Amino acid sequence: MEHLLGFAIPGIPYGCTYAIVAVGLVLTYQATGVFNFAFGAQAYTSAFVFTKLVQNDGFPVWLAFLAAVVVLAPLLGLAFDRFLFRKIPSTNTTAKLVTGLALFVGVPALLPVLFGNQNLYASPSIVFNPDTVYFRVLGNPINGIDLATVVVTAAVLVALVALMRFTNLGLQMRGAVESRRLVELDGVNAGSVVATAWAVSSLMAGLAGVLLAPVYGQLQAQDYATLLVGAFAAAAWATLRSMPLAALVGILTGVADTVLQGYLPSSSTLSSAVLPSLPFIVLMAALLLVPGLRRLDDATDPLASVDPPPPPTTATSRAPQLSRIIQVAWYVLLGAFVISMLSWMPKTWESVFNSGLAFSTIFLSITLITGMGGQLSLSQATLAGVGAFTAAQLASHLGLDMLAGAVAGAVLAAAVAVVLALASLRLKGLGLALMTVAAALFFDNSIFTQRSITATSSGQALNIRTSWIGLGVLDPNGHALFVVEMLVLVLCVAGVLLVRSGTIGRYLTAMRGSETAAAGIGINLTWQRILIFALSGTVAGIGGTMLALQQQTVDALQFNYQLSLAFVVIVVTTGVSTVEGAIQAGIGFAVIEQLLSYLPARFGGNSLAFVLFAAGALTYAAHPEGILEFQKRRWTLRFEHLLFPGHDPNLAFATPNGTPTTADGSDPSILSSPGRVREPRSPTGSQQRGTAPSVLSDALAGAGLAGRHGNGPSTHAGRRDSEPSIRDESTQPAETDAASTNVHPQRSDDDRR
Amino acid sequence: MTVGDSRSSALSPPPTGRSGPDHREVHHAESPGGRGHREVHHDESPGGRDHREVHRAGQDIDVPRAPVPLLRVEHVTKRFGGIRAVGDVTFTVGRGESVGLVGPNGAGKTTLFNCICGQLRPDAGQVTLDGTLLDGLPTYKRARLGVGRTYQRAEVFPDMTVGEHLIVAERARHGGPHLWRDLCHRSAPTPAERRRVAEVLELVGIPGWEDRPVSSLGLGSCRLVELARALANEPVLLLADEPSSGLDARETHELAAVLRTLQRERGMALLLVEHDLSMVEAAVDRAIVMDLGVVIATGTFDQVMADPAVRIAYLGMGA
Ligand SMILES: Nc1ncnc2c1ncn2[C@@H]1O[C@H](COP(=O)(O)OP(=O)(O)OP(=O)(O)O)[C@@H](O)[C@H]1O
Ligand SMILES: [Mg+2]
Repeated sequence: MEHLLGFAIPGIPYGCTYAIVAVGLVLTYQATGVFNFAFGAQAYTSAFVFTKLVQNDGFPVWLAFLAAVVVLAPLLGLAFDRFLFRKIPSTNTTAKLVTGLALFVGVPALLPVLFGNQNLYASPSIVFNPDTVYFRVLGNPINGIDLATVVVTAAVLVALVALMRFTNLGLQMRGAVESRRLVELDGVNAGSVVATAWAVSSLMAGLAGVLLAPVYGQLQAQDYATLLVGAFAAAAWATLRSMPLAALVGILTGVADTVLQGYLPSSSTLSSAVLPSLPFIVLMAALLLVPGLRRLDDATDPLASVDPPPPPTTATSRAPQLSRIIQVAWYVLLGAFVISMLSWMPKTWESVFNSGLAFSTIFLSITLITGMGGQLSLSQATLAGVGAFTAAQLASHLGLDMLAGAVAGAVLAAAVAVVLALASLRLKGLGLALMTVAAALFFDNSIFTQRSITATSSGQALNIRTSWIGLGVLDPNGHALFVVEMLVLVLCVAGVLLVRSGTIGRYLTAMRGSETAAAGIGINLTWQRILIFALSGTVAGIGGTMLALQQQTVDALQFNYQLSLAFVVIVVTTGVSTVEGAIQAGIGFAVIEQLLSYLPARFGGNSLAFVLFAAGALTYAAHPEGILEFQKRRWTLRFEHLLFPGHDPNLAFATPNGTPTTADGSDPSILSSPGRVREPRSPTGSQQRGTAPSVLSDALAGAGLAGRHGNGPSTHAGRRDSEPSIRDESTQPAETDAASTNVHPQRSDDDRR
Repeated sequence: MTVGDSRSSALSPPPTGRSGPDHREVHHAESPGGRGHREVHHDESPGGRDHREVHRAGQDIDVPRAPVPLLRVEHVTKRFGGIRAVGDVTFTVGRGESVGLVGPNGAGKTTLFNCICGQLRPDAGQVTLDGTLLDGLPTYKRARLGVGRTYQRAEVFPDMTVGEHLIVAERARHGGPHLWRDLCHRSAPTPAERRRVAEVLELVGIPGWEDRPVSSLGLGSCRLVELARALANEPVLLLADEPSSGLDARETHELAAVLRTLQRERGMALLLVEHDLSMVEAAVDRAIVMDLGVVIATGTFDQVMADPAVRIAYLGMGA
């Protein structure tokens, strides 16, 4: 018993670090309805500024604390609220999540861009002296850091519970999460209530950041990020509802960690594999076992029906002539690219583009799972890693060709993805995001750390050797690598497009539209979901091997969870629902990174790339199709206006957003007049063009959203005219009547969910 | 595709003679789910069709007209926390019968629908379709057994055209692996499928709408798309939840006629939830009235409307 307590005591301050962050997460969620992925970034920002002011600029500790925690932290939270989260409807979970992820990736990357790369060590402590041992509990020394963590956590917990339970403000905060508008009907200024909530929770993030800074020797964003995900576990067990419970689970996690550390033999695989992942295992367990987490996203705004429906996507409103021009232009560009790569392209840039192609392949897996499947998965880099390590190990141990190994790797990655899908069958939105991020961290800390996986049998790093491939792929003077990467990408693109335009793509489109109705017509949601996870895992696994080939090494750092998050943020910026979005993301990411390397290091190098993409992803709420996609369409429409004044894209939509149209359907022939309805896409359209290359060209030409391929209105009109409808007298009135409801400007919001 | 032939016979153009609200001769014994009604208003022999339906539900009963009613709801109870949304409800719907389910707001009609089609699990009681116990079957399997459904808040797929809705519904019913076909680029709608889509659209009164994106349609049209999608699934039982909301009076009237036609032409059973009583009157053989989760009256439309308990339930609400 004494023994046990001896191990448990040091776990309490350690657990308090989880507890204080978990309480902050619950507070933000309770008071603003946002699961704040940026909490760790906010904490890091305050800690960074605090330490920098004290150490580099000679501020006294209290003044630096005032500036970094009391002033800066709430300001940051207010800015998040004012410029980002306030604009997102409370029911749009995905937009809230993506915005949080963009901040998670972008904010820590922004600091070195603003202040230059700085290494900050040994942050000062705000209360108590870190080096003094104040007292001993059962022989365990309690130093200033431990004491401060416990005391501040307890004080914060009491203060917050009191705030939420017993004050009017707390009541209003909780009401405002349900429906801002409902609270406002009671004469409460919901905007300011939510803003206050952000200020308070951000103050807390700052406090936690500064408090925990001395715990870490060097101040690094990663530590805060990992701490944050560990705290997710505690928050999840509390169903994001109860702060005391969150704190308790946080502390217990810490205690369990130190106790296990004490009892498990230090050399056992169990301790090397399980211990580092303990918080993530706890998180996965919560997601599997706590039923409340399945309903997190079901919260609906009672007044949501007041919202106007979102505008229609501009998917395929382009004039056919322009489509043709753009299509040809893409072919020319593609041809020029291939020829350049094979001839004059400098080696540096050839390698940059090769890595772009590999990234594009990995990003295609995000198109599959997020764009088509509608699921936000945060473990795509991990799946890529599974593919790469498998291929490399097979090559190293069995002498299997890397390209054959890629197939095996893809299969294994698909299997991992299926396990993930099975584990998260009943989760969606936030729950799924948490499950996948936990899985990614589990792999980072438990699997990709095993030497039997990350090193050759002789213990060397897994450097891709020429003998593993043949084909002269690694010949620095040849172009075989480019050819391989290009072929693989083309195959993957063709596969994705075929699935998208096929039956599975349609099922997925149906499921994204309404799961209820999809199940109601006989679609097996579970099976489709497992299938899309498997497909996504396959593509990610292939992409991972391609990346390994290009980098000529396989390293866990290439596939860690932060990259998983960054990948999603990048693809969201360029467009998650189109194949071209993934390709632009891959090439763009590689090229921008290379371009930034020419800048002075002061501008943060790689960080700036993440900042740029994060800034793009922050527009997700307004442009879920991707900001790049949005701008492209905008400019296309402008050009179109200049070139083909006859084609008016605004008329191309029979309107759901309030303006009554004349497309009342009373005369069916009106359908064939161009510009009345959206350019028709016959369900057969995509199939009429036979071969994969032409499908590819569609994507490259930006043929638009899932499963849609524009087909000229002419064919449509022709078909209609040649097939006079064989209506019976009795149905005629029904048809016109039903059609005339088209004028009704209102439509159900639920359709749009 | 496979079923197309047997059905296209049932898909002859709707009869010119309107089946208006003139079917009150169909009167129904108190025995719910009684079998008397068929003889009254079905002039064509339902035998062959029954056989098909029986086969469809995976049964091997060779009796042309199975003595079991199509849908049997027995003692179904569903609670939400303290609220008893549906309490011990029992009724049956005969093959090819059209039954109205009416009641004031919150009576538990939608909840009952959800229990029948599997979106909710009842706390007690059981649901049987054509002799098959549905308990524990997921929604999609029930759909494949022939339970079609439209929703109170129209649930369409906003990124699809009207035609795609129907094709998806038709394929989903048959299930089967699609990945390989997709990868071989062989998932194009077949001519047979397209013909079927055109037929169903014509049946619900929106012929030629295949290529319209539903995002361009109004609420009323979305309801018709929902209905067409449910029909593409070839239900033996259609659960329609307030199909007339969003439609004006004339459209409602037309919709009632369409539902009537479907029931007569295809032998499809219909369970209709509707607040518009004139539509109920026009579309059903028999009505069941619910209030606060329990059945308070059953019988012909006129009978239940004359029932004092029903008047109290409605006036209590309306006042
Ligand atoms: N998911 C749910 N959670 C909690 N209560 C529910 C839920 N769904 C329905 N209820 C409650 O069950 C009762 C019956 O609701 P239901 O929607 O079935 O009624 P209804 O007869 O369809 O009413 P309406 O005519 O308004 O559509 C109501 O009191 C409702 O508040
Ligand atoms: Mg209802």
